[in-house]
Amino acid sequence: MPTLKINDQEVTVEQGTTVLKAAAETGVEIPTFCYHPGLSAPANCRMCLVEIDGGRGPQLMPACYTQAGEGMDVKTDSPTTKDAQKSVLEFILLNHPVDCPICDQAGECTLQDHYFDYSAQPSRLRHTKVHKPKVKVLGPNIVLDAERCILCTRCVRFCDEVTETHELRVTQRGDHSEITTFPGLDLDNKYSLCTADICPVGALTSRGFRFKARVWNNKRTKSVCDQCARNCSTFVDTLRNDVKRVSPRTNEEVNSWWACDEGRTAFKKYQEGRYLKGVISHEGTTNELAPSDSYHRLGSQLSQTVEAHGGEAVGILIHPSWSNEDIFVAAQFAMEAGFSLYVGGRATDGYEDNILIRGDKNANRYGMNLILEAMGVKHGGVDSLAAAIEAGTIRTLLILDGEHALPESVITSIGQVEKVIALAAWQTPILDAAHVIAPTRLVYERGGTFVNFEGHIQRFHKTQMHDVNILSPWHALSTIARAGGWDMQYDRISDVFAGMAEMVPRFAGLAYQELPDDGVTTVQAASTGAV
Amino acid sequence: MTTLILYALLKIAGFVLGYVMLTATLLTWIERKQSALAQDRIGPARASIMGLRLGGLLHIPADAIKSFTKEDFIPDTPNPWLFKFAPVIAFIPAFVMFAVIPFGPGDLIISSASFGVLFILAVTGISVYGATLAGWASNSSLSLLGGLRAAAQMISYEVTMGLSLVGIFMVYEDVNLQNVVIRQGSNVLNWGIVTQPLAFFLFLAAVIAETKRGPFDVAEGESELVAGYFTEYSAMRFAMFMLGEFIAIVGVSAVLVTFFLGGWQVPGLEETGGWYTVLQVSAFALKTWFLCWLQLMIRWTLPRFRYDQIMHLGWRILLPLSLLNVLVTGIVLAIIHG
Amino acid sequence: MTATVKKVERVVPDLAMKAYVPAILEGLGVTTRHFVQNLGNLVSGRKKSKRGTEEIATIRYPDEKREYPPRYRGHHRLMRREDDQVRCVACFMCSTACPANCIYIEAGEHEDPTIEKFPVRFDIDHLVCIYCGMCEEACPCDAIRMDSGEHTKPKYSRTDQRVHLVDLLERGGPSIAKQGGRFS
Repeated sequence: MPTLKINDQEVTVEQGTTVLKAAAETGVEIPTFCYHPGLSAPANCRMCLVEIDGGRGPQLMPACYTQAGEGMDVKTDSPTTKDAQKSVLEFILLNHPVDCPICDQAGECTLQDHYFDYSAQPSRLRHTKVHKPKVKVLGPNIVLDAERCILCTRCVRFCDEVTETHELRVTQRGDHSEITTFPGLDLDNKYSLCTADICPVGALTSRGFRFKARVWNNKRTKSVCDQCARNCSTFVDTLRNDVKRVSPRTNEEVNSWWACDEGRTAFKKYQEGRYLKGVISHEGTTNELAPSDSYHRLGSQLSQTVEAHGGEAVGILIHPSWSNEDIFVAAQFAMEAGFSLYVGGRATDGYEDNILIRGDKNANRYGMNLILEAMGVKHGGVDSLAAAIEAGTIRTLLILDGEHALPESVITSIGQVEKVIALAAWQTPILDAAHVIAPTRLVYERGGTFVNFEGHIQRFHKTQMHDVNILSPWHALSTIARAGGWDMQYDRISDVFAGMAEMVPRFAGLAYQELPDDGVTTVQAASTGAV
Repeated sequence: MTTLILYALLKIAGFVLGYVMLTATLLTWIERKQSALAQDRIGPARASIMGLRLGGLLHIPADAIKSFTKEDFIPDTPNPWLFKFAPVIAFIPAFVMFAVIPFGPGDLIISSASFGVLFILAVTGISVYGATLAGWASNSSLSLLGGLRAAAQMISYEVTMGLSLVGIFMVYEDVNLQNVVIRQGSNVLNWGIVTQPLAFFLFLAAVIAETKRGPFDVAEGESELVAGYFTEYSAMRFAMFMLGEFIAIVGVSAVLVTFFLGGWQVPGLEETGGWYTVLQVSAFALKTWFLCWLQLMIRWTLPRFRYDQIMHLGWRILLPLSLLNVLVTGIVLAIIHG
Repeated sequence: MTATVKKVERVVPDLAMKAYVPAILEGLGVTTRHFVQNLGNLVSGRKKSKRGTEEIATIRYPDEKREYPPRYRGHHRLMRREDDQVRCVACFMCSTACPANCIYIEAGEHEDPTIEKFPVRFDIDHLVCIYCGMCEEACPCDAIRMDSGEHTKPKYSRTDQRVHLVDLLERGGPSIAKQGGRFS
C-alpha cells in the first residue's frame, strides 16, 4: 500500500495502481490519448507525462504506465509538466489537418479538448503537412482518415485484445505511419464500431453516422439495447426527434465499455414501416384509424369473443423483448380475462460469442420468466399455439409486437384464425394476417425496465416521441382492457412497476423512479430458469 | 321675386360651391404637399395618368375614386342610424356658416341677417355633435374617448371664442357681419387686428381648438386613440369627416378675415361697384387663403398639446385673458367716448 | 471611485417662455423658411438651394434606390469555389452560432475526397433570421456572406421566405480566400 503525494496531496493506493488512477482518486485529471481503461497501456502518446520524483530527482514519466511507489512526489501542474504537455500536443498536431469543421469528432474530440486546455498555441510549422489517405473505407461500418490519426493505437489494441480478430496494424515509420488493415482483411468484426468510439480523434468514424449530425446538436438519453439478452447500456443520440446514433454507455456490470454493431445499428430497421395510425383490413381493403379508436376496437373485439366463446378462445402471443411492465400488464390482463398465453419472440439460437453477444435475441426473457412464474400464469410456446389453432379453440389471436421469429407452419396456422388482432409498432410479415392493428411505441419512444440473462435489471428512457396518442404497450393494453370492460387501472408506469414489485419477489424493494443508471442485480446467483 | 331667388342661388353656387368647395378640395392636397415641403420631403407624387403627375394633384381624384369605391364598413353597434348620421352633422354646419359671411360689398352676402355673429357661434357649437355622436355610435372605446375629448374641448374653448368677439362688438357696435366689415373700412389701422390684437390671438387659438386641428387634435390623437372618433369610419363617411374639417378651416379663416382683417376691404380703396367689387371679392379670397395657409403651417409646426395642457390653457389662461380684454376695451372706449 | 456629478442649471421660464407665443412664432419661422425654400426649389427645378444646405431628404423609393453602405448585412449568399462548387463544407458553425436558429443544413458525402463534406440542403428562413451576421463571423471558409447589398424582399407566402441552396448559390460569387487555410 504505497503512499504518494500528488500535487502535495497525500494518497494511499493499492500496490500496482498506476499514477494516473491514483491521481484520479484525488480528483486530479491527467490528460491522455492512448490510455483506455479497457485496454493495455502502451504509453505511446506521451500526453500523460507528469513530473515524478521517485527519489532520484524529478523526471517526466508516463502516468498511465508508471506504478505508484512509496514516497513518490507527482506534480501535474508544475512548469515542467505543462511544458511537456504543450510540446507533446505540438508534436501530435504537427501533421494534423485541423479540419475540425468537416470532422465528425469535433465536439467530442479529445484532441480538441486537450488543445484548448493544455496548449492553445498556433502551429509553428512552415512546411507542407504530410498527406495520407483521406476517406479510406476499412470495413462495412468504419471509415479511416489517416491524416487525422494521432497513432494512439487504441483501435489496434482493441482488435487485438478485446475482439481478438487482429485486423488492424500500424504500417510505415515516423510521420508516415498510418493505421491500416492487414492485406485481405476488412475491419468487419462484430464490434468494429467500438473502434470509432475509442478513437480519441476523428480518424475512425462511423459510416452510418458520418455527416448525419453535429454531436453538440444531439440530445443524449440513457437507454438499454434490446437486441439480445445482454442488455448493453447505451446512449441514444437523437436530433429533431430522430435517432441518429446509439453508442455504448460504460457499465462494468453489463457491457463494460463496449457494444456490438448489430445492436447499435438496429434502430435503422425500425425507421420504415412504422405504424402511426391504427389499421383495419377488411376483405382486401385497408382503412386508417386514430390510435385511440384502434385501442377501443381491440377491446371490443376481445370482449365480443369472450362473451361468445369464453376467455379460452382468445390467444395472446406475448414477446419476451417487451419490458417487465409490458409483460406484467399483458399477463395480468390474460389472467383477469382467462386468455390463453403464448410466448413468441425473436430467435433464440442466433450468433453468440463470449464477449457480449448472446444467442437469445430477446432482451427480457429472464424478466418475463420471473413475472410469469411469480404470477403463476399458465403459458405455452409457439408450438402449443399452433396446436391450439389446429384444434380450433382459438377464435381470436392478439399478437403483441410483430417481431416474432415463427416457423413457417405456425405462420400459416395463424392465417386460419377467425380474427387476428395486433398491437405493434412497425410492420412485419406476420402482421399481414392481422385484421386490426393498433399502433404502439417503439422501444426508443418509451421507458421501462429489462432484466438481462444474468438477472441485472436496468431502466431505459424515452429518447424520442412521435405522437402522444400512441401509447406504450403496457398503457395500450391497459386501455384495451378498460375498453373491453375489464378492470385495469394503470396509468403511470411507476404504478405498474410498484404492482409488479409487490407480486414478483425478485423485484421486491425496487422502485421505478429510484433505479440507478447502471441498474441493479436482482439475484444472488443464477438460480431461476433463465434461458 | 324669381330674380331674387335666382340671384341668391347664384351667390350660393358661386361662393359656397365654387369658392369654398374648391378651396377645401385643394386643401386636402395642399396640406400634404405643404407639410412635405416644410419637412424637407417630397409629398404625394405617385398618382399619375399616363405618366402625368402634376405634382401629386391627381391624388385628389384618386382619393375621390377610392372613397366612393371602398367598402362602407359599419361596426356592430346598437346605433347604426346615429353612426350613419354623424358625418352629416359634422359636414353640414361647416357649410351653413358661410350663409352670414360677406364676401363682397353691398348684397354680396347670402343672408344679411342682423344676428350674424350669434349664428356663427351657434353653428360651430352644433358641429361638435358630429364628432361626439360618431364616437358614441361607433361602439368602440377609442372612438368614445375621442368623442368625449372633442366635446370637452369644444365646451372649454367656445367660452373664449364668444368672449373674444365681445371686444369686436364693443368697438364696431354691431353684430351684422356686413356692418362690421363696413365699419372697419379701408384704413388698415381701423381693422380688428389693430384695434383688438389680443382678441385676434385668442380667437385664433379658440377656433383652431374648435376645428380640432393640431396642436389641439387630441380628439384624433393617433398615438393614443388610433384615429379618435372616426376610427371606425371608412369610405365616403370618413371622407365626409375629412372634407368637413377642411371646409371648417375655410370657414374659420373667412370669419377671422371678416372680424379682424377687414373682410373684403382693400386698403385705401373707398369706392365699391364694378371692377372695384371684383377687386374686393378677390381681396377677401386672398386673405382667406392666407389664413388657411397659416392654419396649416401652425398644424405642421407645433407638437400636439397634452389633454390637461389644453384644459389648462383654455380655462386658466385664455378665458381670463378674454375677460381682461373685454374689461380693457370697455375702459378704453369709455375714455375715448368720454 | 466617486461618481462624477454634473450640476445642471434648472431653466426658470420667464414670461416670454410661458406665453409660448415667441416660441410659436420662431417655430413658424423655421417651417415657413423650409417651405418657401423647398417651394422655390420645386418651382425652379433645382435640387439644392443656393446655400447648398436645404435639400429634400426623401427619395422616390421604387423608382430610385439608395445605395446601402458596404457593411450592410443583407440577403445571405453562398460563395463558390474556383470550379463553381459550393465553398460551404457543412460544418454547421453558422447554424450553431445562429441565435435565431434559422439555418437548416443537411450534410452529404462528396465524391471528391479532398472536399469530403458539402451541404445537400442549406435553408435559411428569412422570417426567423435577425440579420445579426453571426453566421458570417462563424464561417471558417468564407462560404456564407451577407454582403449582397440587398435587403430581403417581401413575398406572398411564408414558405417562399425560406431560401434554399440554389438561390443562395446564385447570388454568390468566387471568393479569393484560399480553401483550407494558408498551408495545404
